[in-house]
This record gives sequence, structure tokens and C-alpha cells, in this order.
Amino acid sequence: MKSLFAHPVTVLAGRILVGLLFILAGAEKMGDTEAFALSIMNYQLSSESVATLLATVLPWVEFLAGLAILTGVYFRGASLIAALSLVLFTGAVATALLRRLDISCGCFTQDPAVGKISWLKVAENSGLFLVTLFLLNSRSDAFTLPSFLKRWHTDPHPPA
Amino acid sequence: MMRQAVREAVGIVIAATVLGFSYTAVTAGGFFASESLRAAKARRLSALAPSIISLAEARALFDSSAALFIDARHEFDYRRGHIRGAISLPLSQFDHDQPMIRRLPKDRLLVVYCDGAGCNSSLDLAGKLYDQGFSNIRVFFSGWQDWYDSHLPVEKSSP
Repeated sequence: MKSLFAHPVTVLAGRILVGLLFILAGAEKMGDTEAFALSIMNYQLSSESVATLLATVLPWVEFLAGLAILTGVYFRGASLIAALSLVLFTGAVATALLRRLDISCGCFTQDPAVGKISWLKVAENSGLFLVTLFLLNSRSDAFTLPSFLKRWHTDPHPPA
Repeated sequence: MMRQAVREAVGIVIAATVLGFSYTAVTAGGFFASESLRAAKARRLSALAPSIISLAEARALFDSSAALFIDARHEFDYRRGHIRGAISLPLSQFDHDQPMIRRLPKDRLLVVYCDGAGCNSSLDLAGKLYDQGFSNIRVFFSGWQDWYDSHLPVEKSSP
């Protein structure tokens, strides 16, 4: 079992899953800053200025972190960001559920009619959080852009 | 390894901050938007959820008991007469009435009204309720005057 978790293909699968999800989540939000700010304000945990600041920066953090995880460039730093942001998102969703707020999570779409928060979202985020912790602690650098470049620099014309 | 991860994470956040502010500056969004967030919310509310209903729709909801009617007018006006069964939630008392607002059913359709087409209290109250997580809201925009003039069920009482 230990070798399965340490296997480069397992790390690659985790990178593809988390990387694509973060790219998708970031790309969807960066197009409409106001809508995302409103989603944040619906949680009733921040002022308008803080919501606007988060809505300005967070989608790009998600997008760049996703891109970094997928390509393997700075992917442990990006995994750290992903883990921390998932803790924050999950905490916000859980407190909103405990306060019985009827809101959408603003995760992958800004349409309030879609993506109503539920405990399933908390479970999904918790599962994803475990994957990011796994990536953060992984030792494998296989299938990353830096490893491909390093190999290419070492031997630009490998034998067929 | 953790120290390197933190350094990388800080680099990504700095890059994201620069990109985020540059993007919103170019697209006139976020802090660079010409209208306030609250105005944007009102626009979105009307765009995503056609919330204004006619007298006929309000009456149908009243007859079927499918909605809870909320009177956004001043308490004095409410006492003089209101839609039968409506509860009083004056816009000016919104912050004061938080305990009552928390008891409102989130799963029930809310119909908000004020004096009539000349007032915006119903729209403002709907926006505030929307901010508090109530998404199932309609605005009976022609309000009390239209209802009263149509001789529909009214009552006088204390709120």
C-alpha cells in the first residue's frame, strides 16, 4: 500500500485531479469579480471591501496554483495554497450550514440557483484536502515540467 | 522542504495579486468598478431571478397560501392596514429586527411589498433579505395601493 501511494503515477493522478479542479474554479470566477464578491458576502463573514479584495485575488491564486500543480512547477507551494484554501472554504461552508444560510457556494459557478451548499460540499472539500496533503508530502518529481526540461538539457536527443 | 513550499506559495500569491489587480483594472471590475457592489447585487438579483410579480401573481400566491407576505412599510402604516396575514418588517428597522428575521423560514417563498410603485422599500428589503441568505423572494412592486384598490383581503392589527 505504501508503494502505491509513493508511486509517481499516483502523484500524477492527484496532481491532475487537484490541478484541473483549481484551474476550473479559478477561471470561472476571474471573469466576474462582482459576482464572486457577492458570493463571498453571502457568507456574512466579511465586509464589502474584504469581499472585493478576496474576489480580486483569490480566483488568480486558484488558477495559478492549479496550473502549478498540473505542470509540476512550484507544485508543493501550490499544494500548500490548495490545502490552506480548502480549509478556509470548508470552514466557511460549514459555518454557513450551521447558521442555516440558504446560499450557493460560488465554487464553480456564480449562478445562485446552482450549487447550493450542503454537507456533501464539506465532505468533497475534505477529501480534496487529503489529496493536497498527499501532494504536499510526496517525494516524486516525475512527470513534472522541470523534470522534463532537466532531462532534455542533460540529453536533448535521447536515443529512439 | 516545507520552507521551500512556503516560499513558492508566497511567490504564487504575489503573482496572483499582481494579475488580479491588473485584470480588474483593465476590465473595470472589483475596486475599479464604476458602481458599488450593492448596486451590482440589485442588478444581478433582477437579472438572475425575475423577482417582480404582478397583482394577479401576488393574489394567486395569497390564495394558495404558497407565500409569506412581508410588509416593508413603516409600522404605523402597517397598523392602519395590510395584506391579510402579512408580517411587518419595516426597512428602517431591518437591523433592529434581526432576531425576527432569523426566525423566518428559509425554505418558504417570501413576497415583499411596500406602499406601491412610488416606493423602493420592497426592492431594498428584498435585497437585504437576499444578502442574508434568503433566495426565494418575490417583490410585489405595485404593493399595498394596488392590493387595497382591488378590494383584496386586508386586515388591521398590531404587528
